[in-house]
Amino acid sequence: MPLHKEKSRLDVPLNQRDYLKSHPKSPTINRVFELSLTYIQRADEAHKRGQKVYYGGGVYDSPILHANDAFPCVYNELGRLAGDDSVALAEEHFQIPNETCSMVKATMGELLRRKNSFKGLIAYCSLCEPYNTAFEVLKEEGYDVYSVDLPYRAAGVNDARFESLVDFSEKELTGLAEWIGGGRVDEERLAEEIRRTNLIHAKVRRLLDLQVANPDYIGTLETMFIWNGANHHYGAPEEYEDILDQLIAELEEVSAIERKIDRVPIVWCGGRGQEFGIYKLLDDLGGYISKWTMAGRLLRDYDESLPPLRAIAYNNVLGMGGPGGAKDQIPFLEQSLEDTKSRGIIFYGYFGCSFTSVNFEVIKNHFAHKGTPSLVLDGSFQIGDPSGQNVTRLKAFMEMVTNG
Amino acid sequence: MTEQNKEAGTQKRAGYFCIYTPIEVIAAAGATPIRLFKGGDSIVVNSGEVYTRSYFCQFAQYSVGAFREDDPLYRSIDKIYHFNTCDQMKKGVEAIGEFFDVPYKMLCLPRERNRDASRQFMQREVEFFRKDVEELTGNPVTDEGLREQIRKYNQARQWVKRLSELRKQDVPPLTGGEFLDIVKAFYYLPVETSLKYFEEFYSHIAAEKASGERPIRLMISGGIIADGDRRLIDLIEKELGARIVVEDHCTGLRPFYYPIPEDKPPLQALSDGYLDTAPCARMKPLEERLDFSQKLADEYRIDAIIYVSLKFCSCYSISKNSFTKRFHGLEIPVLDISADYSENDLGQLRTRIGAFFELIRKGDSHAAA
Repeated sequence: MPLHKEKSRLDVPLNQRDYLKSHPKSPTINRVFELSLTYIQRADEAHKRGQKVYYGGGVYDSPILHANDAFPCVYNELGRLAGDDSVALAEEHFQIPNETCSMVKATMGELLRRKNSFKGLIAYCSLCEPYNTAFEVLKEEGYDVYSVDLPYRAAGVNDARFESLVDFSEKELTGLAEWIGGGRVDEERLAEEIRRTNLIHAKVRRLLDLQVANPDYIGTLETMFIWNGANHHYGAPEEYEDILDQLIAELEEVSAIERKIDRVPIVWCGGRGQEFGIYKLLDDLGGYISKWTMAGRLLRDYDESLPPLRAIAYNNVLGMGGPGGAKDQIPFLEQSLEDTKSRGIIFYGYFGCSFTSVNFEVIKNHFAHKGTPSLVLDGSFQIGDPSGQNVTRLKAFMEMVTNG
Repeated sequence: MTEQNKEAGTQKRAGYFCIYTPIEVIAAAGATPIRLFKGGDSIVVNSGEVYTRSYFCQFAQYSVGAFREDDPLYRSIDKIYHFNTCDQMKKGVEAIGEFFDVPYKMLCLPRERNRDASRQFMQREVEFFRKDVEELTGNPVTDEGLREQIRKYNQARQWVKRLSELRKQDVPPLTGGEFLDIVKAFYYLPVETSLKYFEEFYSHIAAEKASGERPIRLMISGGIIADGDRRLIDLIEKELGARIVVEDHCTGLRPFYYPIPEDKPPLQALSDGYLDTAPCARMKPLEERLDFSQKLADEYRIDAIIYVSLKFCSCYSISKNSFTKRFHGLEIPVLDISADYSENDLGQLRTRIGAFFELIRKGDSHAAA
């Protein structure tokens, strides 16, 4: 019996930890949750043991940090801890206006609380304006911050100009690697980390394919937790890889039994919300995410034939570092819709996030002309219930796509 | 070539929003650079919001809305060049390109302006910019042509700065509102015309002897004060009797403070010169921006600062606390105003600014109404 018919998870208390621990099917999934839920705590412990802990984006900095035996921790996982009180703390301490994106405020509040729990902060420029300024303000508060400037890859940038962007990005990443490595970069070790990341990426991709074929076995939120760790591995690469192996084995076993999928496939475009109730609701409404566009970017393999920092720079410019013009995302989405026979697209961004907003409008406009239904949701970063507005809109959208 | 084009009405017009666009390149190609910095009308803002979101600053929304509303100046533009400053303007330009079929070129502006890698990268971006402008106009941009434009624009910047310096007098002969008109002339007129105008205006105004009581001397700091967004300035100067003697924002004195170097190869001069311009809050490190604000405050012997940030402008709103702390440390009062283009907060602003001025008159250095 499909999970959504077996038991409505709307009955589960809306507390992320309880919700995650209540998952009934895969024992391995609980290990993923455990890894995620203890991530920040393990970072704090690593710091106490004397390991260098850095907060960063958790993607392109991760191989660099692993290669330096540092512990990579990520801002978006701070959202797992953050509630309204973190936001209020940031607003009060830094006098940040309330209209600022909740992700930035929640992060700043949590970083303020944990000032003595890490060595440094890695600030990526270009992706998000509130963060850019927030890190400058944190510098003034005495935090050790290294800014990595990222070039913006606008639509249509190619050839010589693309290479120029990569050159710049490589220099910026070299600066970061030297900052972390105390002035030196161990290229051999870095190349090793890149190879390991590529292997892990391949496993995550395999797992995502298996999950899409078995959406009743592993739900949407659980899936997000799995691929979330594809680059930072929740600070525990061996454990994370072992979990992936076990999950693949589990899903391959499940796949051997033929089942009919009566869920509605939807493509997810944009950010990963911490307001986990959205994913829970999507499952309860009989949907599932057939493709995550961000996962496509985050699971791009590094080119092992290149010097490692150059390889990271390429992925950086192609991926999150320069999200590119909105139009660059359209072919991927078209392919995803076709491959998965998805019935629509959900765009998800945080309220106040400018870099997703116009992209969504452009992409939505493109697909509206093709008759593909889509929904834009403005979410919030800190954990908690989705807003009533988002719940209503998601319900209406799912009803529309389910009934054709 | 340029004169012929002008006569035939075929001279290309290149629009830009932010001051980090090396306009000398556009002019050297025989095109007209036009800064698109109108704002202040909430109806146009609403029109632009359709393609952005409610949480975009109203200048970005206005900029998109002006194309939707067929503003003749905006619609006369052949191509937009955007050196990527803040994310909202970057996305605003992409929306304009996508929804109104306006050609645009997005170029990168490094944030870490003091790094060698940033300097080299910026120079490559200026080179790509030059090639694109050549393609737009069909005219070559030579080093000699660039040198000539750098000289001309430096002269114009110098005149604007000299005109501003007249406001260092106890009783300034120029209001803040009048100074913004001078700035408008720089951005809207051909440089040859504005040079002539600035020179004449300077000789006229410098000869005048201003008299009267020393007014409260204010610096306006923060984000953009758009062309058309005068209600705050009128309130301060016309209604409440204070005088804006210097602007620390991108439509006031700030972009005119430093010239482009004339002793370097032109592309390097432009990339270095624009990176070294008095910084916007988007640039790093933030401390350099605060240092520049302090420098202006010292030079113009201000009594107080009104810090204006447009709602949803992350650069200026998130950094305002650092700004306020810096100036309170110097015992200079700061009034923080979170603004938009609506009309309904005028009464509230009148009360707050009036109270702020009263505190200044009483000598309260930590005044913040």
